[in-house]
Amino acid sequence: MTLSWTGCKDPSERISSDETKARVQNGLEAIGVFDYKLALRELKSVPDSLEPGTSEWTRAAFGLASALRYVQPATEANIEASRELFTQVAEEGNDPNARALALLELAREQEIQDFKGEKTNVEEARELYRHIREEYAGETFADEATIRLANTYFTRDPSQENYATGIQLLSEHISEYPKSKLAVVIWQQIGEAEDRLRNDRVAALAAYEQARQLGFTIPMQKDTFLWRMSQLAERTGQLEKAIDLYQRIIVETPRAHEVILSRRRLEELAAAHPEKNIKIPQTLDIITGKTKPASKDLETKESKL
Amino acid sequence: MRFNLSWLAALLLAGSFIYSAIQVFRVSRMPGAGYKDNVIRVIHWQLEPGYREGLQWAIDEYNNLPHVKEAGIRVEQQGVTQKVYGQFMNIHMIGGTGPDIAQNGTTRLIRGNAIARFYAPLSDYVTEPNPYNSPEFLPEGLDPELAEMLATSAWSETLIDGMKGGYEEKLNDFYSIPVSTPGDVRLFYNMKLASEAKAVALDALAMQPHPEWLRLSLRENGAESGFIPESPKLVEWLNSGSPPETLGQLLLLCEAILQISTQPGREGLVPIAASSFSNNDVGNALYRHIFMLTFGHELDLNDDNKVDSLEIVHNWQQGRWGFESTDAIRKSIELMQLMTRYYPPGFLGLDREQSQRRFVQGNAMIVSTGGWDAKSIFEAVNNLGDEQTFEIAVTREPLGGEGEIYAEYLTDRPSEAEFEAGVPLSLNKQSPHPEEALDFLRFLTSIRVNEELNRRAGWLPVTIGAEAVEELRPFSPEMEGLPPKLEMNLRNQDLLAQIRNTTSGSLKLVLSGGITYEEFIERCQAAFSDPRLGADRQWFEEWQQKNDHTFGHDQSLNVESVRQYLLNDDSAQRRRLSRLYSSITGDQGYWVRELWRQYHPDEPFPSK
Repeated sequence: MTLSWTGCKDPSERISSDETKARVQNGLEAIGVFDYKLALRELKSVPDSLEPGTSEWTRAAFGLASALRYVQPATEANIEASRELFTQVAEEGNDPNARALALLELAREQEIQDFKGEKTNVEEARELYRHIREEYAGETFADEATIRLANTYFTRDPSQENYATGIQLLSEHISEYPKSKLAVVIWQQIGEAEDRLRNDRVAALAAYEQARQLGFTIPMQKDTFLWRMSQLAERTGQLEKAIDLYQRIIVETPRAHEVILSRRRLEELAAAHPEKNIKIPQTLDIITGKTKPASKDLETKESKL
Repeated sequence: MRFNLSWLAALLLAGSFIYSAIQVFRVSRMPGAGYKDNVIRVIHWQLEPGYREGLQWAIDEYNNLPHVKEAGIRVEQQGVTQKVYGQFMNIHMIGGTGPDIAQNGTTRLIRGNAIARFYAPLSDYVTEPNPYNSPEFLPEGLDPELAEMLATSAWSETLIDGMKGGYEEKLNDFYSIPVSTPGDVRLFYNMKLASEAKAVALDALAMQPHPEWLRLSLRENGAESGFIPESPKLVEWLNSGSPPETLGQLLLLCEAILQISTQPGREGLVPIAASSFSNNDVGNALYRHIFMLTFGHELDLNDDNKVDSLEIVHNWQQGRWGFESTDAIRKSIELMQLMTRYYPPGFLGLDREQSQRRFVQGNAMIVSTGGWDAKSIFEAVNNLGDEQTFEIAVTREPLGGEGEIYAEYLTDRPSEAEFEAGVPLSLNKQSPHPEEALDFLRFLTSIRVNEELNRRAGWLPVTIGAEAVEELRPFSPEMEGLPPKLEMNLRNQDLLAQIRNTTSGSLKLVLSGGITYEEFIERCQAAFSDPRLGADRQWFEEWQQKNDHTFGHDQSLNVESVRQYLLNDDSAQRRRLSRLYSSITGDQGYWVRELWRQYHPDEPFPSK
């Protein structure tokens, strides 16, 4: 099957090989900086001038399909053309990565509305995600498809049954592939779902703890997650865990607002539970770069301990 | 046909336009247009007195480094007024004639995802140590622990804000390097006037019975009126040279200044030099936030130490706060009304310059403003004659003291821990000298250079351990306090305009005496209860906003997919992971709908 949507079939219109390569590169680089309009201009007739299934064609077709899907404003014609191209890449592309990415894009197109009035098809999306899980089993793309598949049970038709299905999918996947590159995303996703959708704080904290050990997906959000975990620990009566988390906040995220809140809470806990010998770490003075005891009282308390 | 002079003007205009267009076209066609082979251009809008001179010192130091001279590279700066900075940058960045290094911000075009189009991501560099903090560049006598930290830590970790001022959350990458920070809002006291007010208060305390103004200011045990209890501690403070340490002390001094202003020749004197510039309004700019922080933690549903617009509305619907039931709201308005007694008559008609001038000329005891005004205020006061000059004390707004008015509310200020440093300088993606430009940014943020640059500029340094000039030290960020976003902020930009405008408009009216507090409550409650544009509509708007973000997240994920898999950019792998995470959390606004379902099980989700 060759592309026909651009109508550029006349061989005389075809462009030279060097120019093609340059345009493919320019088009992809334009996407790399969110300039989908430029990408569309650079790539729009390129796939037609290449042999389908070749490496350069795969790159050009994936780039063009992306530009058609994400250029604004979204139109029915562009989305349809994008779908055709992604399908073609998934079927004929010579690069397995591009094929998997194209399938993920196709599934996502079915799942969400790209323009007003577009009909979505979540069952079709789920089928595609399941297909990717099977075809790319053990690879990152299968992890991603699992994450997406589970999310369809959180975002559509809210019910405890659906939430349980989504969490089960994620839990089974992570136990089968604990060393997955996306493991941290999966653990955070489980944590969010347990916390927000099922109100199972113990399970949420356990999932967040797994994510913490792997290093949270967005390092700049570490303070927020450690604090959230500390609150889950307190509400579930896991005092030792809460203390550990407060101490981590002070040491590991020294610039965060939560440092002061953690220090204060540790002070309260230390006063309420002298038998626990609670250590309150020194805080960092961000101006001088030196550590300092939290307060005079604490200094005395620490020295007594 | 008669010759019309207007035609000549039109012809001249057309001729000038054509000539300019030809010139722009000719220049833009020249190879390397906009770039000189050996010059790194830095463009910024910091035209405050001293900033360009400070930066120029750093530039000269850099240009004189042996390896820079050897490479034949030279750095030059250009200041552009903030009024036209946005247009200037838009034209040059799109035209490919942008500077190598540019201050990031103020343009409507280069923001959000578009930042990635014009500026280089810096994550790969900021995780490496800054070579200009290696031992041979460090000042002598530096604390060994600090020296070790500066020499070995990631560049980002050597800045006091952890380089947060250069981090773009949407893009999950560092896109600029902050080099200076102006400091937040503080109270400037004219200590000569403060001493005079203290003397008046001491005299009044010695009188029996106390004069009426003092009697009204003093708070007896359990009484509702008055600001501050009479105590040996109060007398001790009045006899000291310290600025107010509690709100009660501040209010007492303001009352004393009002007394002084009744003396002949002192009529122009006011306690606080307020103006229409929001930071000059002590009650609104400083104290309102503190009151609204006191109950924020009760409204934070997802433990992120923020109270967002949905949490404001949802908690109002659940009765967790209310205009009538939440005392902190009533009390904050009381204090703001009280404060206006100390402002100049018609203060809303005055501007920032008039407010500063009043303070500098000794006609106000207090002015509230940010560190960006410190240099000009100190210089102006220092230039006054010997008889007119006065000592200035700078402090944060005092909290409530024991037994004082509002003491139970004024216990914690907003923390300044997560402040973001300023003057973020970005690296133009099209710069022909990216390595050299980056080298210059490292140089600017090394401890020795950053300290001296900011000392000359009159700003606060951003490098850990770099010392600020004495006068600016009170502006350094303070860790202590509550997360500022825990504030129940009715000016939150995500609140529906109808709610936001009604509450802020009614607040202005109640403060000016245009309406009563009861009318204020009525208006605000009506805005929240409005079936079409009130609280329920906020749910829909929140959901729609989150749903709209779905597309943006997917687009960002696609960008990183192309970078990682088709352009073989290894650094994209990390970003792709975070994009995927952003895409699934809050995907299609599902959390908003779920929250509605939990609290309104029998009601359909609000629609437009």
